[in-house]
Amino acid sequence: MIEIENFSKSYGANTVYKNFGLSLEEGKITCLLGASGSGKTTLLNAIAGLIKYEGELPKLKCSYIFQNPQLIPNLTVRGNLSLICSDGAKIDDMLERVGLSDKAARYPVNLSGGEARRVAIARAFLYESDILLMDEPFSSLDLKLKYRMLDLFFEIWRKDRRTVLMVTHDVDEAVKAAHRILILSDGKIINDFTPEGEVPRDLSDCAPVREKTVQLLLN
Amino acid sequence: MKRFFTQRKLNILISALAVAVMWAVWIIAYYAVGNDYIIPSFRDTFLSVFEECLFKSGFWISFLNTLLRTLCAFAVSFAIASLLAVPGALFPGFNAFVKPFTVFLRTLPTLAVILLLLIWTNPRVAPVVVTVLVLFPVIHARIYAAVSGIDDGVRHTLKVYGVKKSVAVFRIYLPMISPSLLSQTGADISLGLKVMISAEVLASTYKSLGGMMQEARLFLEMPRLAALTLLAVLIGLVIDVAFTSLARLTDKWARKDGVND
Repeated sequence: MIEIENFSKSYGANTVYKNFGLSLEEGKITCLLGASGSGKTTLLNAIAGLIKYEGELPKLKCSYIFQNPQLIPNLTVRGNLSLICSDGAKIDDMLERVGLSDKAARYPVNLSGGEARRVAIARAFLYESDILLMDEPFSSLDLKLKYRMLDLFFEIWRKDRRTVLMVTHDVDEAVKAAHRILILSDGKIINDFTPEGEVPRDLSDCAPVREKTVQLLLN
Repeated sequence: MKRFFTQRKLNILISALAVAVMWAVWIIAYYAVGNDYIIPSFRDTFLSVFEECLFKSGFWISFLNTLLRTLCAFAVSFAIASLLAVPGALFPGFNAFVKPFTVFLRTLPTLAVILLLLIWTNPRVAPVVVTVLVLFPVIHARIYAAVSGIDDGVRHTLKVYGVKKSVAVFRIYLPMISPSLLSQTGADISLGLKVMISAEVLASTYKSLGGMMQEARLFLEMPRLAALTLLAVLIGLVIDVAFTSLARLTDKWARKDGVND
């Protein structure tokens, strides 16, 4: 279990979290679902050590898939991966798995949006971390590409079984991908439930879960 | 029908027109003043340029001395500025320590410094120190702005993935800012040349462009003084254009499909 206890964060007079607590089961995908401004990204950034906060968070080695791929522009695809992994064979294997072996020498500027995102996924799994943080990683993609990326993500995750904390405001994404769904509002978890079935779920089988989640979000 | 005047050709024509305007102002001023000791004629100046370049070996030695001193001052300024600006942009506390020094150097009166340095050092060293003092805050501000301007996403990625600061600086930050720095290098060296010559004039540095100008002034050789000024401007222009072209070339090189690994 990864335990977060007494986490507090304020931006000036605006308190986003006060004594927030959360337990994450290892090897599972937990999804934080909430409206814009509910503090989802703030929590991820605090766990990753990118922002200052009050309270104690466990010291974790993190991989992070940001909203944008955030590749280093002056390094090639291989350069971006070799920055965080010195094992060339592992890099080759990962490039193969994400289908970018032939584009290893390209710079990010010469990649399509989907290819850049695949590099971001490859980087996140290549880095040996305790937790993988994902901040609306597929939000800017069209539907077809979004599901292709989710399939690719699960293809790698199944062999890796890394602990994942994903934030999103997309109900379908959460229902399809998460073992456990947490609904966040004003820095508090207002609902915590575990839908049935193994991930990734087929959305056509999840109408009741989807309906329930939408109702909880609307309320 | 293909247009004869492309924008590039038009720009060259407009620049040529600007040079013609400067030339016309000179000629008008020459005839208006009517005194060769105040404004020399274009013809005498032009002949003097050729005389200096072709028949006086002293000119080339002086030119090389001044140019080497300028390049030396630029290299020292760039090295110190890089060493202080890059960590300054990454660690706010370090920048708070460096900032008073850069503000002080920016406002320091150059002439007063030259006079003091002439007492403390010699006419060959003083212009180099002055040029460093003038160039350092300019280059420091540019490197600081370039590193600070690096996307937060890049910084966050490097932090999350535990990339060492030294690797981040030498493999990521410096290559990322180098095209913008290179494009300004010509302008910095031109500025350095200008300051160097001014300092050499004041210091009467032996075998230097500034020293030659001071000599021409003392002997009232106005065409020679104008010729040396014109040559200094041309040298600065050549350096500026050369570095701008180099920056354009590296920019093109960086944009194309690369194989850096």
